[in-house]
Amino acid sequence: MAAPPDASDVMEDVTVVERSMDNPDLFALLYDRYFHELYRYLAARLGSEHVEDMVADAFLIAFNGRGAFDSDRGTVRSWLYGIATNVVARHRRREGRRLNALSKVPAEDSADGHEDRVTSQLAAEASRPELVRGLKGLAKGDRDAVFLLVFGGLGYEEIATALDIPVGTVGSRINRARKKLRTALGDVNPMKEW
Amino acid sequence: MDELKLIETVFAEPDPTPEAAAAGRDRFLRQAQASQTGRLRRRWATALPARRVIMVGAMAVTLTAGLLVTEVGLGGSAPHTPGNLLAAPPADAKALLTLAARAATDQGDTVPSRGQYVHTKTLAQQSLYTKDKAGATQYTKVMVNEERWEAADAGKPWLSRKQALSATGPAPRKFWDRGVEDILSESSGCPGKPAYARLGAWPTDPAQVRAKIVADTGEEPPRIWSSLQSLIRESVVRPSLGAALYQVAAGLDGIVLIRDAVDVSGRPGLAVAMDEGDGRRSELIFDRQTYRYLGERTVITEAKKVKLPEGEYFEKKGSVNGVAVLAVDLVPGLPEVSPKASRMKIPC
Repeated sequence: MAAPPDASDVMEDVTVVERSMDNPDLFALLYDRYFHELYRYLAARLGSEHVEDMVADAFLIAFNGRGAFDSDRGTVRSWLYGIATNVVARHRRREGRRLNALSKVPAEDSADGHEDRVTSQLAAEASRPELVRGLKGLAKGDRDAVFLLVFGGLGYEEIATALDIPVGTVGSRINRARKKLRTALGDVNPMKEW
Repeated sequence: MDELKLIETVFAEPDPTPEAAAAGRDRFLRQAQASQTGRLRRRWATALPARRVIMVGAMAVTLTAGLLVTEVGLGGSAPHTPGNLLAAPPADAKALLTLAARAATDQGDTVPSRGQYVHTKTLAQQSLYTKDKAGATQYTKVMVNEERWEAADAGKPWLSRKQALSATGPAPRKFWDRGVEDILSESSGCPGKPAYARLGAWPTDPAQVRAKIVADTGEEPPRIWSSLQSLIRESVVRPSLGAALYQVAAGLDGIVLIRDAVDVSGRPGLAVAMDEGDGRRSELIFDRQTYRYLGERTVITEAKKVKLPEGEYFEKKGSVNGVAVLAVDLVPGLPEVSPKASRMKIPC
């Protein structure tokens, strides 16, 4: 049976997962709700080429594992981000290639016209090699926490769910990562110093 | 947050294109369906026979049980088949056409061996306008079963068979029921006929297909759309061409998605529609789950006076003409032809 037209408006994520056990169609509602943000997260981590396939893979893992979802342990959204992070882990080489590529491209080689870019973007490009080298130097778990914070907009508790670690560990990972990144950037605030 | 803001600026990628979004969704649905197939087969093994009985009863007015089987086999997805899983609709008409193109690509062409015939079975809904004794126009809906047998080999005869099945309206039966009407066309190897041979020569690259269509129609979207409608209906024998045609349609301005469409045989679907600007809206209808082509409809959205040599009449607002494709298969030869068959020589 197809989902009723207004189901996406009235059914909470947890209910969708529960009811999808008997009515698998409903799981498509979650795909439609979260495709764009998971795409954004995975594209940031792995590049956008064919990343829609990886989003699909993440949802397939979620679909096949939905019976094990435990709402007492966190939200559906954080659960999906955790699965997407595991997809990243299966493509570490690709992530490495992306980081290498971004660390080597100097700002002046950017294809964008300078006239179209705002100051913050110019600052980001100027600092890009140092930033990316800093990210490459982070432990994988620290990098996961940082990207979940930046591109998932997840809170510490949600990151803890996604990575299956204590909330306190999330805080220490992010603090450690930010400190290392600031060091890599020369202990300056690139957005203000430009 | 400054170094975090910097990460966001450096690592952000453009939003997905509609094509990428549709492709990802399609991949997920196909894999999810595949992963569920075994479990569902076991679960529904006892439910299927009961469902068939119900459908045969409901459709007996216009369709035989034999037709029902072929309808399901063509790709219309019954509620308890794997094709019906995960059925939230695509976001817009372009996304639907992208999914339809993928489905057609996966379908594979119907390739007849030497000596075989491509057999297509369709159900057409037609409008019959008659006049009562006072001269007022009367409207009757007529359902017509149409079959074609087209030879794979050039130079062989091909057969068109029509039979009106039912009518709803005041027109006397003699006006619409002429029994089985066979037309046997004695092909003399003319190029362009029948559809199977003609479409076999078409390219399948969307840009080339578009150029070929536009050479005839010009660049006006309604004219391209009109040409696409007939080509798409005929290309059910060659889905690889259908895929290209859907992609051409996806590039047209003015297409909209209709989420609650139904084809003339009663199958629910999703439609891509265009307002043709003359009181008509035409629709290409696709299965909700498999995205395979089901058929086409044209809906009269404004009552309109039509002039014919026999007189003039008003097309009724809300009346529908269309065709539902029920089956495409390969058969070893022509069926027995009616002794009253019209035998035509195709002029070159």
